[in-house]
Amino acid sequence: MDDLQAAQEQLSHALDMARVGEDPGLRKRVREDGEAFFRLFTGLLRMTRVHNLDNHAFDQPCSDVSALINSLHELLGAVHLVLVEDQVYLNEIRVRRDRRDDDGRSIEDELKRHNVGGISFHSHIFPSQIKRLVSALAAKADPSQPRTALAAALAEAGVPGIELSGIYRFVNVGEEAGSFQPERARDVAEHTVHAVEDFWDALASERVQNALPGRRVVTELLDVSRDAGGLLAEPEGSTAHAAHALRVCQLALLIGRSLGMDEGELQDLGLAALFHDAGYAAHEGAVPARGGQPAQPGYAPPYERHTTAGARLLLRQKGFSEAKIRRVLAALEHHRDATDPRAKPSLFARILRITEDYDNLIRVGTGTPRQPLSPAEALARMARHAGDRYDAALFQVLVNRLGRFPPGTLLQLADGRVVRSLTLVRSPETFDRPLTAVMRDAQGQIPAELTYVDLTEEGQVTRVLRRLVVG
Amino acid sequence: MPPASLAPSAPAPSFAAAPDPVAPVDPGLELENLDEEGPRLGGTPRGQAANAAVLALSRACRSFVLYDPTNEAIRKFLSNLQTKMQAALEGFGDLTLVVRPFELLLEQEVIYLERDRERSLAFRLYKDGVRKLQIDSRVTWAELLKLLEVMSVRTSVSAAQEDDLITLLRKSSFHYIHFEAAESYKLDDGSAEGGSAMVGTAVARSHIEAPHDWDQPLPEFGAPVLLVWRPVPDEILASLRAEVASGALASLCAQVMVGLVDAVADPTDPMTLEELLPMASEVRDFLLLQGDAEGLSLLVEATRRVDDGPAIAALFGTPQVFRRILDLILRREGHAALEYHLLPSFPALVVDAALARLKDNLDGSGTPTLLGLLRRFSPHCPEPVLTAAAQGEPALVHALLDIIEQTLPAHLSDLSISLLSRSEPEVLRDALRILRTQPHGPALANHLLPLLRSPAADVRQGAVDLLCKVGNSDTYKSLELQLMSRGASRDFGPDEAEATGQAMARIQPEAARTLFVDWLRPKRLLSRIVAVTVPPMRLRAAVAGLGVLPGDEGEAVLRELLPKADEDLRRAIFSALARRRNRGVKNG
Repeated sequence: MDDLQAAQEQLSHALDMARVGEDPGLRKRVREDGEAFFRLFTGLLRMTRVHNLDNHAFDQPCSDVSALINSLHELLGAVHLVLVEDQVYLNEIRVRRDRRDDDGRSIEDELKRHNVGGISFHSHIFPSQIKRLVSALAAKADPSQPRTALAAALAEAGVPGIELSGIYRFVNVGEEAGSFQPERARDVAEHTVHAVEDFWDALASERVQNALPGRRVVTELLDVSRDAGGLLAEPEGSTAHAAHALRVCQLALLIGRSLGMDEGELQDLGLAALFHDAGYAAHEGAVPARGGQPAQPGYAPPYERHTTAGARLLLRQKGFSEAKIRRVLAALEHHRDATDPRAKPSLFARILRITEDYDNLIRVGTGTPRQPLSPAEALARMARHAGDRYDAALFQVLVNRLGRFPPGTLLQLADGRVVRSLTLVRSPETFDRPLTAVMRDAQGQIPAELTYVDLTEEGQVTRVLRRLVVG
Repeated sequence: MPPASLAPSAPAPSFAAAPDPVAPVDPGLELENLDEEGPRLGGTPRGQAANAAVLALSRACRSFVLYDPTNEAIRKFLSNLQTKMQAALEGFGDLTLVVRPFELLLEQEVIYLERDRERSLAFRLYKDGVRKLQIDSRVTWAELLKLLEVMSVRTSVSAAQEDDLITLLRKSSFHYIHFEAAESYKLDDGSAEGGSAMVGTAVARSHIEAPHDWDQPLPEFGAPVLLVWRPVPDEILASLRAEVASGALASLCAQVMVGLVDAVADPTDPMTLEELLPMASEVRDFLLLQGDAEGLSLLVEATRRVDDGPAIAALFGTPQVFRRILDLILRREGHAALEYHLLPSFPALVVDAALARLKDNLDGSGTPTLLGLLRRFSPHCPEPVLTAAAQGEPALVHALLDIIEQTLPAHLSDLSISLLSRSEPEVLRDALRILRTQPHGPALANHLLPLLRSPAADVRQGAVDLLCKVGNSDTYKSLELQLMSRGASRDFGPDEAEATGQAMARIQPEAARTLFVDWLRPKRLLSRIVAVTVPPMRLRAAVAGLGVLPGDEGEAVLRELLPKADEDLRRAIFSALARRRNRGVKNG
């Protein structure tokens, strides 16, 4: 077989594989409906230049746009239309646009006047509300706070459930790497919990799953965590499960990076971590209303079954992909011991077993009565089970990254100060000497300003605290 | 110097001498002419070389929309890519392309421009976020091929849900191909209005929550252990990494199916087999593509644990699946569980798939295996085998008759009789061979008579041999007519003549004796010049016929003829007399 013949075989196999992985449902429908929606919406905006909004010519297109949004809402949940430079995205899926519709003035120009780059539809919308939305967009923009003014105008016009976002731009790979930016870290954490929450909502509503937003946030997490030095804090107001998913995901990525996984593998691992507890979004025993009988809402599966429930939900995503297989397997096996007699759990599941237990010990705790443990204590107690519950090598990898006093650990210093550990292990030599922030001074007072203590330079740890004593 | 690794191992095919373009997958699609140069861009020699290389890449990507990957036309596109890329890299070094929506730029020089979105390589790259593409002059053919693969997948397959172009490029871990990408978008920091503006509060974000006691109870943990930094050996890290390598995917697929089937088997778990089947089908297709018989076997075994009927049938009971399973078995990559647990559930599919393969390539290396499968499964599913044996090409009929002889003997006689209506001598020979060993009644004669007109002498003779046993008065007349009409023709040889004579003698001895004696001992004066008037083959028939007839007259006639007979006839007479002696033919 010569080079070219071998190449033909390789390409043939790759194309066959890709076809196995196709999801003929989601993208096709989002693209088709999305394109139709975008085309009609653009057309409506253009019509406002030549027709009065009372003109009946608006009736049918408004009705069509309303139907499309409502249909997409059934499919996807909230519908997010985002314009980035000359690209259009609907819930992260790129939608083709016809330049002929722009007619000299693009929809970006129309929206930009209001400082708007994206519109999210959080609920169903009626044709009359579409007309009012178009009317508001066609109106003159407020010179100082255009987007806020537009939102107010929509509220006044009785068009609720719409979110207007600012102007977007593309971010190039690595563009924001190199220095830690707290604001960006906060944004990424926020995107991540939103992605998890939206995904759970989609699962619970039996809507089509779209893993793409999750993949994007994992990419962001990978970028931002490269320079973070520690772990990102969950944003305020996030659901407990999404915050847990964020922490588990970060810890899993720490292990993955230490193993030397490549970018694609890390993305798959991150996604598996974000969605590992998705089973709790299931509604077992739910019955739709039928024959005059009211609907029954069902109940979340108990702990014992949430793994299979998660796998059951995740496997509904159509199309074969390596990532999906790993994700389903991780959801299925992430509470199994590394020495499970049935079979050794997958690598992702073994990683998640460690990171999940670690976060649960910090979140819930153990013993009677249950008390959340400090990160240092959680890791130290888990260490006893390395080799049976936990894959010993993976556990040591995590220990080597988190150190004796993992980020978040409260430490009593010999001089009476209480500090909180901030950083991951910076070198083997400083395994038990992280950078810390002072939480209480030697007199037990909250310091007036943020003060750091680098334990490599000063400070003697005398005790690990579970919590700060108030007062 | 050219990058040695990119150089073709075989001489690049000459496009001028290439065969006519092979038909595209969809004849309705527009054909792209490889010889058409496309828009010539690039004012410098470097730009022109880059233009040619990029056009070759673009065409190769699109070619998979038009052609099956195994098509000869694809080979030409690949060869062109190899040649043009080599020329550009060899002559001018690294190819660093800036991607714009419809253009590719090489240091400010537009070297590619295509405004048709469906055709444009630039647009394809741009829309998926690629902003710069650099091909190092040291690039290997393997990497170039991988780039083509990634782009072709994005071009030819509507879109894998999870893997966009950037993900696929990243996963490829190129060494000599680099890219810059706009991977995500974000709110532009320039906005003075802060975050997004929400209209109304009634629809504020509200999300489903986990149950209050989720992930509980936690297991008990012992006393803390002092944590220390310990290096994890590289070989352990490598073995862990190997678990996520793509090669491990097949076993993960099997593992996930086993785990999910466990849930189906658990009466307390609401998981149903119906929920599992779509994914099981995807896994099956993947394993089939990978040719992973062991994984498939695990899938079969796992599915059987919860359902041995509809689920197995839904997963495996299709001709397409069986054709691929047969491929595995023929490549000797089959697995015991497939051969001994799956195949017996679907004998008809096995038989159909094996017959289809045999029809395509009867002389292939897998033929013994296919015949073995047919031997094994034809008793459970005889009809397709019998139909193929009745209607197949002569070589297939020959092979199948052997199997039918062993496994379906009850059908052999009827099948062989039906084959007598075929025209191919090979088939007729096989049918006659089998019929010689089968019991049969007089009705067979009617099927044999048309064979007397066969152009093949051995077929005619074979038919005559059988007619000996089943003939009647009609048969006798036909044989006589055969002798009268063809007895003088060149293709009517002595063996056939003798067989015909003997058959006539056995079917109607008295009529035959009268006829043969008349031929050999003419009563009328004119007819006494027998050697001149009766054709030699008719004489041979008469001699052979009298040789098997009882009574003295026959022998007397033969002996009378000896002095007048020529050498050939004399030998025939001696043979006939010897036969009479040996068989004790005297008075019957």
